Amino acid sequence: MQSEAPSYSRATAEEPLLQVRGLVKNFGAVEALRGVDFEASVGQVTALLGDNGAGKSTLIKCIAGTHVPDGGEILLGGAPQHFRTPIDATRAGIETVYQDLALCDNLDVVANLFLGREEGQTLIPGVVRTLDEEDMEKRASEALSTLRINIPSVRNQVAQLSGGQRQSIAVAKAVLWSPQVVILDEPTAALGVAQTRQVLDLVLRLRERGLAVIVITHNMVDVFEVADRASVMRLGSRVASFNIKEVTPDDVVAAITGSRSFETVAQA
Amino acid sequence: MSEAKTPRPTVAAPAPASIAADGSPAAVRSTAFGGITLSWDKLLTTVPIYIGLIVIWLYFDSQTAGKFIGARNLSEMAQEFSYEAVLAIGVVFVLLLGEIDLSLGYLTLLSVALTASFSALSQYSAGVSILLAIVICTLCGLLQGMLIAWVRMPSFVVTLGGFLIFEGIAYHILAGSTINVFDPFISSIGTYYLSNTVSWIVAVIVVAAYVLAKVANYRARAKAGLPHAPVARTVAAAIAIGVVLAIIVATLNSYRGVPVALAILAAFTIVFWFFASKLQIGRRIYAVGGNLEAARRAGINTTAVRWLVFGISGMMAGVAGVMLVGYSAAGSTTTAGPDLLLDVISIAVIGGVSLTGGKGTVWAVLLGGLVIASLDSGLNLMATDPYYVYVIKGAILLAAIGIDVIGKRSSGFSWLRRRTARA
Repeated sequence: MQSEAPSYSRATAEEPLLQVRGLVKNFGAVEALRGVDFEASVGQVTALLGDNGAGKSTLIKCIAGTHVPDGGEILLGGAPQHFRTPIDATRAGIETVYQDLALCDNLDVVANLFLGREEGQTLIPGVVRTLDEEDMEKRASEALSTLRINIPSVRNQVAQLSGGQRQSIAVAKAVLWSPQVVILDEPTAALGVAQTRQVLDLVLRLRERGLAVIVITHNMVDVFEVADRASVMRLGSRVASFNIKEVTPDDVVAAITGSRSFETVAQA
Repeated sequence: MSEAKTPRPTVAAPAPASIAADGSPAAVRSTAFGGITLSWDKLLTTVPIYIGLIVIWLYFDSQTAGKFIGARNLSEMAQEFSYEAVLAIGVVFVLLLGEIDLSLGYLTLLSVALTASFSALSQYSAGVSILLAIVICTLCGLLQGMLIAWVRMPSFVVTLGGFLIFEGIAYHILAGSTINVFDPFISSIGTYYLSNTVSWIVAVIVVAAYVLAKVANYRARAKAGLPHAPVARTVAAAIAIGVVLAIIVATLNSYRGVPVALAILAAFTIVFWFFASKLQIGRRIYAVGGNLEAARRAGINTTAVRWLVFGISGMMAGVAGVMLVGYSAAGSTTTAGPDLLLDVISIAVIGGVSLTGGKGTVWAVLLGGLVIASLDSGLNLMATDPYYVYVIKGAILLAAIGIDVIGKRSSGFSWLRRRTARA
């Protein structure tokens, strides 16, 4: 193959950046994941679908390091990963934006974007390091304007922002650290029409920037608007994997409810 | 396969620092600077307290034939009540986490007992007595914090246990009697005054430090290409600080000078304000108080943060106890107790610290402390029945918490907000 090309172009062209193979997770007697395959590619939005209890959340939590799988493997850029904690996954370049947003309402946007990774500057060498507010504010503004997220001021408390703005900030917080994979857990649940639009546009911008985006959703309209591929889970297994352009919403719903079976599963 | 092995290929976003170039930070409008925004919400919760303070002062002054607003009474107030505000600094941090520390009254009494017995009975030097008392109280706080942060026991239960334990130990040490402390250094803490010149010098240094910090801030923001507050506003703030300090120093100097206890309070307030608002650890305390789960997911060691806060709370109880021994030159079972707890929680809440966590600053102790000290002093001057004093203080605590709770609801004070917004 073209050995000169940077490592990612190969992944884009052929191999998905994130590959999950035969993932198994049991909670006591409950088999939450029964050998799940899943993949997400660079510059693509992959929708992860399925009814409640299908195993979507468990799969995502394994990828994000919250759960440790009992079997199978997770490959990132071809290299096997063994995440023990969410921090491991973050270090490897996988950021997750959870449904409940994980923002501190009492802090401003800058403080939230840098939560847990605050930048410091030396005030008294070796003794006192203060927060570098100026640099953080500058980087925060830049990151938001690159993602075209509009808020009145980066010094606004998060509590003062709308639902769509808050979701956008949560996403910006994830991509500020240059991840390769971003997982969005129901990003448009509980948002109004205009705000949903705002967030979906943001998802498309993440794709443009060459991230592998995974979106968990129940909303079929969202899927057909932003997703390139969709994986459907049912009872702890993946039952279908579609190229969105080749299917209709009815096909997808049929796969979710199990009213039709799909043999074309692993045809990535 | 093997080419893609590096954990973080540059496939995704470029490093945020270099993202910028493509445009002006459109997201920022001119209201962005250092987090100082005057909102109606803020005014609604602070203005009534200032008005209340003025009303209290005028009322007491009229009832005491002008004795209340006078250099002598104000000086005595500062001398007598500064320790409460110092103790309230610890409470501010505990409340920022959304926790409570019920043990503080008796932990302060334990500090009183330890300081008095080390100094008067064991004949340790002042420095050793003070240090030992503060260290032991800090350890007590850390011990409670351990049960709260690591064992995850609810703070009100743990500190209720501490309440009884510290009461028992303190009463045992004091053995029902009064321990008189004759150490001149310890009593100087509670009874001495700064010389007039020193007070003026310190006041000038404070104003100069404020101005220098602001200049540095303007420079840093200009360097980073960020908008800054109007210069006029900063100049006005510097002048206001200077005038307030000058009035305080001039008034107190016209009696005996600035009490050492007040200077200690001012120093602790500045240090802990810096700690809370300028350091990483302070930011993390606010984060843990605002959303524990978010802080945990962001990789913050929330257990350590909570542990540390209870250590601070214990330390401030130690300091407050030392100040109390300094003031009364003795330690007895009536020097401190659970009433103190009610006072310090009132101080923090009146100063704008929310009981539900994440909201408020260390400056709260100055405003809240002034209100509570004024009440105590005024009611005392009027020779009010001490049992009524309890009723009044309890009512004020409830009122302050009521304002906080209602103000937090989005619908709270809506009639007032509509009116003020129109005006």
